Amino acid sequence: MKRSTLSSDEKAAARAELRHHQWLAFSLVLPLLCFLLFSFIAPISTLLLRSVYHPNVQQLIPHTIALLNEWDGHDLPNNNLMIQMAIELKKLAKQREAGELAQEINRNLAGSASQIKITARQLRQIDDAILMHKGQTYLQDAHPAWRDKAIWFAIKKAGQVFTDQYYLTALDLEKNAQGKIQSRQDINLYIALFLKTLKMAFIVTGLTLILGYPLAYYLASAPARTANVLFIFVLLPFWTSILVRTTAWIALLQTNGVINASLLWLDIIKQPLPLLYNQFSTIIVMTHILLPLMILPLYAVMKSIDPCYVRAAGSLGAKPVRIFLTVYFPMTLSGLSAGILLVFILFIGYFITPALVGGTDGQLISNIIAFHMQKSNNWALASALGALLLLFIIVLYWLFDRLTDPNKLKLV
Amino acid sequence: MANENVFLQFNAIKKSYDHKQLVVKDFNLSVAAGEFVTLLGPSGSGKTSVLMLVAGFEGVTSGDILINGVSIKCLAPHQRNIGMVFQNYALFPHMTVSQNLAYPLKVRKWPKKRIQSQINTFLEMIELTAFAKRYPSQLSGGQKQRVALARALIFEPSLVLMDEPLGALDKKLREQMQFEITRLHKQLQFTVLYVTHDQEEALTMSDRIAVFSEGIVQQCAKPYILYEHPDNAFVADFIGENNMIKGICHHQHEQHADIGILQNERIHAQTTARLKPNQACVISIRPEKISIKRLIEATPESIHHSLTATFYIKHYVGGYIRYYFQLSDGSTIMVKSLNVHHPLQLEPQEKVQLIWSIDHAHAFIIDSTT
Repeated sequence: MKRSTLSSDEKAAARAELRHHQWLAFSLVLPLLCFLLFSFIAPISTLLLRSVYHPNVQQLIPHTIALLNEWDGHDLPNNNLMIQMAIELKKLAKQREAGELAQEINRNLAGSASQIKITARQLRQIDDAILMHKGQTYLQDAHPAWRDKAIWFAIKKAGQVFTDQYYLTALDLEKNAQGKIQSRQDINLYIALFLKTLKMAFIVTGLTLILGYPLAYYLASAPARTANVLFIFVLLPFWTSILVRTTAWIALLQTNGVINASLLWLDIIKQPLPLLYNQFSTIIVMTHILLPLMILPLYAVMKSIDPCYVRAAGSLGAKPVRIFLTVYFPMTLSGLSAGILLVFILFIGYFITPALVGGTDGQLISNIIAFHMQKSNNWALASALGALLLLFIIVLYWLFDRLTDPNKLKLV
Repeated sequence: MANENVFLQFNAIKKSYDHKQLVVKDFNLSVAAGEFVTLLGPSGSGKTSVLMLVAGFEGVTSGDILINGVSIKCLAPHQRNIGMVFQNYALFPHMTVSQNLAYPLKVRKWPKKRIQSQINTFLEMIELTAFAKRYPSQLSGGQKQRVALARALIFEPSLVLMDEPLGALDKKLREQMQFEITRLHKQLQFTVLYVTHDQEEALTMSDRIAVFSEGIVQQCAKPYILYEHPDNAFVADFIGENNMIKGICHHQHEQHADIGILQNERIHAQTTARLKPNQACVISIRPEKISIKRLIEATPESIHHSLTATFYIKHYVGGYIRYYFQLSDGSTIMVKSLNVHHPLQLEPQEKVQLIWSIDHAHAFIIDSTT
């Protein structure tokens, strides 16, 4: 027991050495850290921010929004507010930015875009001094809808800098005039799309599992030469560009494609089957594309399982089925969960293949996100949808992690 | 061995993996119930293959294996009721110690209470009661090996196979486990077929040892017979240390051969082989059977069981000392002598007489080594 403690000098030396190692380790990961910061953390944070922070309208008509925030919503806004609106709308008209405002408001109140554009065009010619006086009349003369409270609610809502409305929209919810959350009356789009994506993700994961597990087992137990040849067949699609593979499938599946033509020629069907541009084609092609990602982790785990475990179970008296269920299968769980997670997560976020072969029926949540970013220019909604997807995957990962409990799977 | 005593019998077993080469060539062996038989041989000699055939992991190419007179050739591994201990333990990593032990009992549908009491008995026996809830990854090598042993014994098989079970342990643990295995064997009276390449392990533990080389059993006998009366040069060389001196047979009379070595010297040796005159042979003499005499004390009458040699180096090993000598043709002879009160101090290049009892020289035909 004597002298088992360190002297202060020795402690300092040990600490210094540890610090040195830590610095070394840190400097080694630093480039990756920087890369992650720019390519991952920054974009994700922007995405999360954009889904709740939306200052566009507030920047376009700041004074009107300030006044609207004090408006109680019982009657029409007072003249002062209307004048402010008229003045700011005229300014926007002169700067040719009225269209942008119209687009923003239109998201909250369908049809308001033309109202704003018409008004802006008429106000452009009128002098500021006159507008200061009688702006409200000009506004209401230009379009009668300014006498309706609906437009003002829409503007007020659009003017909120921090808002949860995109999340509500993404979940098919909305706030009514009293500020209560209710499900949207008109359309029920995103939840259905989420559910469809989920359902198809389950199907594709299940298919890759059914196809991949036996194949991975065979690969892991086959002699090296056979396994190498087979592995090339597994990896070949993996090395080919996704676009090439998807196009190949289009050639196979389309109405006059290889499959339909052969079936017609063999007289098995009278009319071409609708194989492309539906859920079926999305599932088939996605299964093909994601299959290697199921096989690889399974193979890695199976390869590392010593055959002596199966032999031991046999010598202890277990029949083959029991050996598989109680010994072999539990030992592959880590690879299985890795494969399932990979396929599932990749499928949920997959964009290009459903876009190419999915038609309208085979579209996934990722395609609608892309639509909102590229076509409808609604980045906030796209961000909200993306953030929900991210949250969903994190929850899923956590659940899976809990279920498979990798701690128990430490190999000897 | 009397025939009614035979428990496990191998009849002319042959095994080939690639349809070209035989890994096991004509293996015959009878094992009595409760016997501890070791298959000993260098790696690649086919001893593990024999074990795999008994366990049923590999099929027999030709021949038959009988247990109590019944062929087990066509039974699947799970129908054979044979316990097996693997070199790397093969404990199921996703099960605790007690779950591992319960596995063969659950398969056999024992009632829960009986399973629990059996597990407790065996945990006590291997002194790991406190570790019942641990996973294999939380155990040390020796502990894992004891659990593996208990798992192979817990369902009370009449035959237990052990495939180099102590190969992965360090020397001290290995000796401890050897003791443990022999103790359990005495206590539970099961039959053991044990595979190892460690001859010391084989000699200490076994009732009989079958020495394997190139798929053939060179000799199967009790440990002391293997050591004292090897059948051929391979066994003589493989078991323990030995001095092998090349010679030419002059004549043989019953079990005694007169052999010429070096230029002109004659040595008498025991032999079980039939040596023809002028046939090349080797004489083996154990290094500890040789004593060293200074030339002044030399006994000239022991002319046919002694040699003159030149000392050149000695190795101090602790319990004994190894002396190395050179014969006139340059070949080396090693002598082991116990490190007693006054170990012999020899001068470099000193000539000495090496002398041994006439029973301790054995002559073998040279060809049987290959």
